[in-house]
Amino acid sequence: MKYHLRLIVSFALCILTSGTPTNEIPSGFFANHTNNWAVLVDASRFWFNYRHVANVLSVYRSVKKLGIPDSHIILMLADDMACNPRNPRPATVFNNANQHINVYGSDVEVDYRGDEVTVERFVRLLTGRLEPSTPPSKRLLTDDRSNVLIYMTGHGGDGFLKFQDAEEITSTELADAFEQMWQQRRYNNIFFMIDTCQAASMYEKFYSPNILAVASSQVGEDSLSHHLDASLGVYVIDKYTYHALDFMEKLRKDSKKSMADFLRVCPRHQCVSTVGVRSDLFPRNPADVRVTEFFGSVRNVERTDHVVDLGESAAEPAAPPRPAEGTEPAAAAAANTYRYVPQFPIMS
Amino acid sequence: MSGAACIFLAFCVVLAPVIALDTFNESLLIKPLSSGHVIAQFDFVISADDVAGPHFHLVPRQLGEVISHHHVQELHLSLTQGFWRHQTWGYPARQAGTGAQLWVWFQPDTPDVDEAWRSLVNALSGLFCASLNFMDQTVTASPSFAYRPQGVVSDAAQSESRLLRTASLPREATCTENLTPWQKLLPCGAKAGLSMLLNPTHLYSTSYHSLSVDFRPVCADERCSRLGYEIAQSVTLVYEPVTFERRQGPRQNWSTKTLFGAGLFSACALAQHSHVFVDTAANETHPFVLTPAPEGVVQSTVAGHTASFAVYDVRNLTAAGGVNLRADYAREHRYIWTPSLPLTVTEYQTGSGQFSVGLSLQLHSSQRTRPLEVAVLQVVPWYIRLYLHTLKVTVGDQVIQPVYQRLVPGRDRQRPYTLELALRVPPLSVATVSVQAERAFLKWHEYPPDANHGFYLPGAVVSALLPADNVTRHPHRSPPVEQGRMFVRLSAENQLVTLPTPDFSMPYNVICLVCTVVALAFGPLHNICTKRLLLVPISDEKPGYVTRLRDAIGRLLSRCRPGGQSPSATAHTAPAKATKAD
Repeated sequence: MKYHLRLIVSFALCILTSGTPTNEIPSGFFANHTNNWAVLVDASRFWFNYRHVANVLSVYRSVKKLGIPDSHIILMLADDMACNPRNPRPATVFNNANQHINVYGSDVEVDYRGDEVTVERFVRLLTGRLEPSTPPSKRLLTDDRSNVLIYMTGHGGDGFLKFQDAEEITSTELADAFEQMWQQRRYNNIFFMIDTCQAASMYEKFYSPNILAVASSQVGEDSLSHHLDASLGVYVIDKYTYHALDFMEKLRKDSKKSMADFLRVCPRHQCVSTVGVRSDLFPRNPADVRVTEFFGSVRNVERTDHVVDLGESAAEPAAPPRPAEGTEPAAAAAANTYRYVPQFPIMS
Repeated sequence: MSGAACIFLAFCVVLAPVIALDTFNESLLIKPLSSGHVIAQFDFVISADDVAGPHFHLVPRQLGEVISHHHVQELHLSLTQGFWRHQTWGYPARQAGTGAQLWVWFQPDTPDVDEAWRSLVNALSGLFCASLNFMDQTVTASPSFAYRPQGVVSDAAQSESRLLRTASLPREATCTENLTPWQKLLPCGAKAGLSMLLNPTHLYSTSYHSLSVDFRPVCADERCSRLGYEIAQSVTLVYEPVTFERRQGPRQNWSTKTLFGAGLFSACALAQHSHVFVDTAANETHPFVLTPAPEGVVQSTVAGHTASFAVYDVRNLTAAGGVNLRADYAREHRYIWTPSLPLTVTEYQTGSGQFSVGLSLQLHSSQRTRPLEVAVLQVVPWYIRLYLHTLKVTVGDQVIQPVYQRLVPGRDRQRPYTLELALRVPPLSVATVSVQAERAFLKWHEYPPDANHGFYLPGAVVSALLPADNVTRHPHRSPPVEQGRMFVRLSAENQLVTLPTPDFSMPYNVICLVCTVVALAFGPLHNICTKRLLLVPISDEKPGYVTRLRDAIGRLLSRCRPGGQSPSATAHTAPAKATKAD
């Protein structure tokens, strides 16, 4: 009897415990994005704002290193520092006075540059309301499963960010742009990073879900630059981005560091300004989110047994009209020969 | 079994589409000059039978699709930094004004050329990472004889000027972000062959660099009965080793390591020919020794002028490993006198103040006997409003008439001014083409962010037929020869013009506003607080004789009487002012 009771109890226990798996579901499993995009904006013009260009290029470099391809990065530089006549080392932008790394590199693609970096174009880029003739490399082709990293740097104030020393984008406009993105389902998660003075004011107005934001300073504080390069005569990087870059240089694609570690970068004794974080709109705990979910192009592979019918393979598309004359080549060859025209007008 | 395989193979051979293969040739031309400069020109040429696809062999697919989608017959794009100083360096192989320059011929059957142009410049801006999308109708011109198709045409309809669009952006910067996509169009990319020498840090430290892409239809065979296409990508660089490489004193020593940062390692495996040519014209006045010794010498006679080039085949050269091609000069560089060029061109602006401005283009001809025929194209943006009646061509004090001129007036915010002149410059003289203009006051939102920098006007494009002596030319690809002379196109200097700019700076506006408010409010307030106004009625009429007598008697009596004046006396005093209270 006792033996039967023990058997029944142990059998019942087995049934009860067999429902729960014995190994933990890894926290990264809940990442639900399929592609990564990055929008990196430098909004400052003029040589003395060299550090803003160096900031953006540092993040660009890190993001490329961790796997996001150029086709998924929109890089906006408001001024040309590398080939600026005042640059003693052309085609280079350094973020360190020791000039260890040329963050400009030899494989850079800038999508919006110079006078193209305006508030209107930036908002149109985010919301997707671009002219039909805009080429794909200048469009943000995100979908509802894209994780988007948005990094902005420049001069800012309480509630605004200055573009090109001529106009400004307010925090309300930015929040509305993100809401439009949400309503069009143009993102899965956004990580918003801003390195300007009084940067926290820019994320205060956000009201769309799935946004995690970090700012280099609170309202009323200035973000400071890190150090000066005497040979260039300008500051080369800001404090917050310098330490953030330091953190990212140690990352690799399989790194397990979490966003919580990233949000702790540059405490007050290093940055002088207080780094601000806004995580109430973000559904997950930043400690469960890996840095590579925003900065890298690491995705989960979902195994499925569902068979997808692609339909019949598309027939080879008809070749577009050849850039020769409209008639058939054989007829043209028979009809007339080709000739070069004189380049210089005949004056007689 | 073998029979079935044979039949299968025969089936494949018969029914497989015949895909003509493209050919690719790369070359590097190095031309040391007697002025101490060294010109380096890379040419990457793809010859193909078809650029429309859908099968692409060596023709880059991005470019081929852009060309075929936009009905492009010919396309010429250049991105340049620096100015080609033809007085010192001779005439360029390919004209490229500073900034971005694009000229395109469209197919005759293009439904809407303006729409195709707009869409094309946007596509190219994405392809080359340049702001070519700013080439809108306000800077686009359609000249009639300054630009002609450089490729073959089959009938005259293909060379109508309504199919031509040209625009330039003088302010456009060129940097690594333009080189990166440009290099990706090459068959070997940046990984092998001569394109490995395109190192950005060396490329952009030059006195002049120009990146260009030229697409045109060409003759595919000798009799020119078949059409082929050519995509030529070239980089033109001008170095100054005498100034910048001073390890052995001021010598013109150059090598591929000092010029490009690397030696020659390989030839592109997809290239049919891969050569390095060194122009030896300057060897007579400034002798140099090439190491390793050249494989041969190539002579090229064009328009009566023979140029000789030392030739290297890169495959043979690099068969045993990397090679640093060097030129050593025995003695220090001596600056010598060079005879003046047959045509030199310079442009400058005149006038002062914020309203009026003038543009002058000087054409110097050093030909001794014959007048020099010159074609000039000047495109001026609408905000420099030209007074076309002041356009004149003078030689000294004498006004000469151009042989032909076509002037298209600009329209505010719609199209630029296009001036095309064909004129004859008398021998040994200077012809000055000048025009007066006014500067427009733009609307406040039309100013660019850095408005006080000024606005750039593209320089004039001057074409002429000149002797071939002073032209930088490639042994196998040279500019066309017409009437026994070589066709040369030059750019004049871009002009930087300041327009009257409001002061957008915040402190100035705040000071103005505050001072105005203070002046308007404080002055009257102070007066009211510290002064009292007394109104004194006055009469304009001269009082009558009787009244004056009465007043005089009244005054006399009041002097006798103690106390104040009679009230009536004050009514007729001479014009009284509002007196100040004490």
